[in-house]
Amino acid sequence: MSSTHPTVSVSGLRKRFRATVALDGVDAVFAPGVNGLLGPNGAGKTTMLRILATVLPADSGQVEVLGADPDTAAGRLSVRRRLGYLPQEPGFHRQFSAFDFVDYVAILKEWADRRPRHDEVRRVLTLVGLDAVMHKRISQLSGGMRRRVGIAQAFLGRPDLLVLDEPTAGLDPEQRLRFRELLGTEAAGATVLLSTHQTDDVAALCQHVVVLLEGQIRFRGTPADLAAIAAGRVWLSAERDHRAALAWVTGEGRIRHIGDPPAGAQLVEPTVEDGYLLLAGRDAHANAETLAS
Amino acid sequence: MTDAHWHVPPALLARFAGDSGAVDDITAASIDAHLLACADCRRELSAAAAPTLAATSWAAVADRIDRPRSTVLERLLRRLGMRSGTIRLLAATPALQAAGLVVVAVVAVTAGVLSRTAGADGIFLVLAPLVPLAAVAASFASAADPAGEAGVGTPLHGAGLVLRRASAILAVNLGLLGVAALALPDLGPSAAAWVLPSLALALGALALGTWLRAEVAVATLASGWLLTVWSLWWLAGHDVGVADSATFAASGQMAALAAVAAAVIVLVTRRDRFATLEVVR
Repeated sequence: MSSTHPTVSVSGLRKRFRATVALDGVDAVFAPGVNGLLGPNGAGKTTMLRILATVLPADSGQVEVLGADPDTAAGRLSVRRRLGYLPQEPGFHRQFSAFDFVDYVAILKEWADRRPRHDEVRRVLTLVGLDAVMHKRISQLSGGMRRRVGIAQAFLGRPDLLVLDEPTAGLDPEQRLRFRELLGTEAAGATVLLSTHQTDDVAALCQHVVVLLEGQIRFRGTPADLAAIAAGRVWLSAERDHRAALAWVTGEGRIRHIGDPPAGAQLVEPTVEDGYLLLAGRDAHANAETLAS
Repeated sequence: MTDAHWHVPPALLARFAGDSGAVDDITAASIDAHLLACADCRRELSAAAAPTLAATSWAAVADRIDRPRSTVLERLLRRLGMRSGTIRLLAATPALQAAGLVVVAVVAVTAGVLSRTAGADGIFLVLAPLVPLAAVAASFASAADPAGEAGVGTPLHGAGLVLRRASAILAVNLGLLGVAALALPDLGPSAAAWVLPSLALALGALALGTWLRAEVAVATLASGWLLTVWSLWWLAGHDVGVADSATFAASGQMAALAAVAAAVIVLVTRRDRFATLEVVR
């Protein structure tokens, strides 16, 4: 974890929706830099980000964001004034143009004066490469472009805290690269919390990563630490080995295995994805055993 | 026509570049015409212009181009002195626009029908409060905000925004219904007996909306209102008109006033519920 002072911390965080436990006693701290949240669908990532973005209250637990308590009206306002938030599904009105939408969010972010507000709207839309289509209706934009409209509004006013729920979903490889560059330039010094299913994004972007499984944190550390979980447990072979916890065919037509290697296996360097899959697979395996017993 | 060998004197060009007000209109027009034909003077002009001038000019042009097109409603509100940001918050909300259109249509049809119907005051008094109820509910229903969830994490999101929108649409509704009431054949003091029930139902929908979905709150209150009116009329023994039943008499008006007060208290104590997704789920 980064040695800088934490800007976001949660302790004993719980949230449930009727019978479903979304977060089950989560403890975590995040410092300035890019912090990644990894986990399968339904692990609680979106719920956690919503709580940290002040859009959902926690059932119980302590939350401190940028020195404020989002459970109070004053604390929530203080956080929102320094926050950029990209929800998983922004849900913008499709009759708006990209400019209209970002301009509308800027008004909600207290940009009262029209000229500086419009300058800022143009700036963020240019940052995400939408300057040529900013007056097109959102309904006429591709999925990737709509995602970039969402990213643009999150960057309004250079926020101190960026909460980005799957920001790279729907972006093509070139756009993902541009997004990484954008974080490097526009979010320098800010605390970025992002959830993703893309382990290569985590490896390329994040200084700190948290793995959330079934509402609980199962790993926290650097991407290198996560990859190291699978050290000595990843091997390649021509045939599938059924003793492996996980196995799949690589692009070269060989079988990549994760698990306890057989004697003489050709071990390879683990990646963040290997570490994550081993962790998630182990968790799923443990759950299956619990259910069986 | 311009002389190809003549060039704008540097001092004049500098004045022209620095501030368009520093040269008179005729001279400025002449320089404009000459610049179209003279590349040398255009180069001199670029050098003479302040570095920020082009950027400032372009920002002004871009601002003009990018300014969202105003609707009739927005232009009207601007004339009333409202700030552009506030106008966008109210008028750019599609749910509010749709609700406004529906209200205008309902009121226009109602006024037309009532003016030709004997004993229509009872029908009007029963139905009029349902119009602002539906319109106000539209201002805080889950699909009401065009920014969706992205808007929830912003400083202006919350009870203040909901009440601002509700007040705007309520003011328009009450005004239009007031005009429609003038079409009643038997215009008397009871023609205003719909106002307090309207306020009670509209504010009640907002208050109940802190527990229930907006659609459920509206359906509950609308059916409760119709059931109450019918019950009190039925208990009176059918020999009085609906307009003369207890609902629209002094006791009914006092009950409506009490409901308004109760709704306000709930809204104040539970205003925090509007700040997050909890209230629109």
